[in-house]
Amino acid sequence: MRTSIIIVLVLIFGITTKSQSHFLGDTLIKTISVFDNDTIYKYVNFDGEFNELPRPRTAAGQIPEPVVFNYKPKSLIINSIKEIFNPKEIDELIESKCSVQCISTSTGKVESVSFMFAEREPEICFNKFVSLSQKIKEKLTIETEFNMEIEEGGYVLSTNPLYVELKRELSH
Amino acid sequence: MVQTNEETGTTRGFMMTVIPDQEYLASGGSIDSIDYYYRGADFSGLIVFNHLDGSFANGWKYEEGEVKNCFLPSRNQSSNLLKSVTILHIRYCYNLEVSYAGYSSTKRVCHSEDQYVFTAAFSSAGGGSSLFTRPSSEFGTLGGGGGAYLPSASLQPLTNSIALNNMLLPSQTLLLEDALDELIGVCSDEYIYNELVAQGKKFNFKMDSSLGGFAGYDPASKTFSFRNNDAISSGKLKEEFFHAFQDAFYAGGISQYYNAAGNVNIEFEAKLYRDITAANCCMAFYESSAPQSVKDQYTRWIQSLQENPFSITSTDYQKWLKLFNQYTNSYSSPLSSNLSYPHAIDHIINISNCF
Repeated sequence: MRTSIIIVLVLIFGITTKSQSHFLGDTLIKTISVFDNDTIYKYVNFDGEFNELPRPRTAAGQIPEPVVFNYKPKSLIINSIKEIFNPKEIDELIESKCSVQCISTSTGKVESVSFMFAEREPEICFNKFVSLSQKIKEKLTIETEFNMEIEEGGYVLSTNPLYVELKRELSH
Repeated sequence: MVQTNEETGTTRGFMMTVIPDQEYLASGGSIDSIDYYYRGADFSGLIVFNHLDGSFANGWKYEEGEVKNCFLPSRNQSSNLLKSVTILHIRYCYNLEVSYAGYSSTKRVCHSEDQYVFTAAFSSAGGGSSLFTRPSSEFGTLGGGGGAYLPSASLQPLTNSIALNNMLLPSQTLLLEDALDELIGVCSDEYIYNELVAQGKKFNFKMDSSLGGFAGYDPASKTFSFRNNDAISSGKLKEEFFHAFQDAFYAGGISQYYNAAGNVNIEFEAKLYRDITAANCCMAFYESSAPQSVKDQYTRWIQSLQENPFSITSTDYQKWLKLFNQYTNSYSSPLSSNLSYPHAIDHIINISNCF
């Protein structure tokens, strides 16, 4: 039987007041979700359901599919990782299969940066993820191309497979 | 100019502008007798060809009846509309001083050179103009064999290799060529393109402003359609191109699944291909009503396939196909047992040497 459980564990860092749209500023919340016996650990920078956020719409009211997410500058996340984390911690990010989940506006502004891990959590000081989240929000823009013309702006969710990129980077 | 090929019956049109040099006119030359087939034994000047939509096609520089240089559109100027060509007659002068055995004399020496100045309007910017000029010596000399109108197809090898009936304007064909060029920058997409060319597959390309999405592929008519010029991009073409590959790969093509059992199999496989080969994920469940935990788990599966594409299993594929069918109403259909495994993706993973 398929099961889906989400457990909110600890509110660890941050003092920012939540906005109506549930973006958490400099706060990350640790959650664990289980689906079909697979466990995903997340440090979320957003405490709502993405599906409930306003989405980009076509003139006919449809939700268009993104066809390309262009992260600009392309190397910002990898470079920021190298600035914030030491080599041992970068190994931890790879081992815990870390990926970065961004909620951005259809005009490209990044509003929320969360982290997702599979199998286990990394043994890394939590504050470092808060710093990384802040830096990405400050410096990254995400240009999204859609499969239909959008009439009304909204929020877009994209995930960067950070650990896959880090593995490739280290193998070169 | 309107030309008809008597063998094939096809007709093409273009515009031809003749711009004589000052010296040619001063020496009694005339442009009255110059036409497409006869340029005159001593014609000096420029002959410029524009496509029927006004965009620049190519140009030829003549000196005393011989072609000396060829002007071709560069890719990033594909949307320019040539507005004017002006010849700047530049006279260079300097003083030459000769000294010998205490005797010196100064002589003023002059020579002239023609510079061609093109003025083009950026059609996509909705106005404004830009000026580009190059000395004629920067262009390659083609010898006496040139002088003709060059239709876009001859300059668009990627499009030309797969086009059966290209109904796009020349400027749109240039956009398509750029999109294909960018698309095949991804190894697996290059494999798909090369496979289609190797199998001799040909497609129609057309604009269709009534299209719901930006781009579409119709397997019944083998036609790629674009809603507007913005739709002609590699990102918007990618999934449609994969559909064309599925159409060639699966026995009987994919039109048999349109609005029938198997439609969801075809669509999910195309979205899975896009997600596995994309730098950032994920599109398949994007507009679905699936809970975030399902979407996160799908993202995890895609990441594991990006790490090791050979790890794809029938069990996992069927699990995600069923969830996609359950949560994505716009593509939902009865499942096809013939397509319970992503054979087209599996073929690309195993044969392309890209993974």
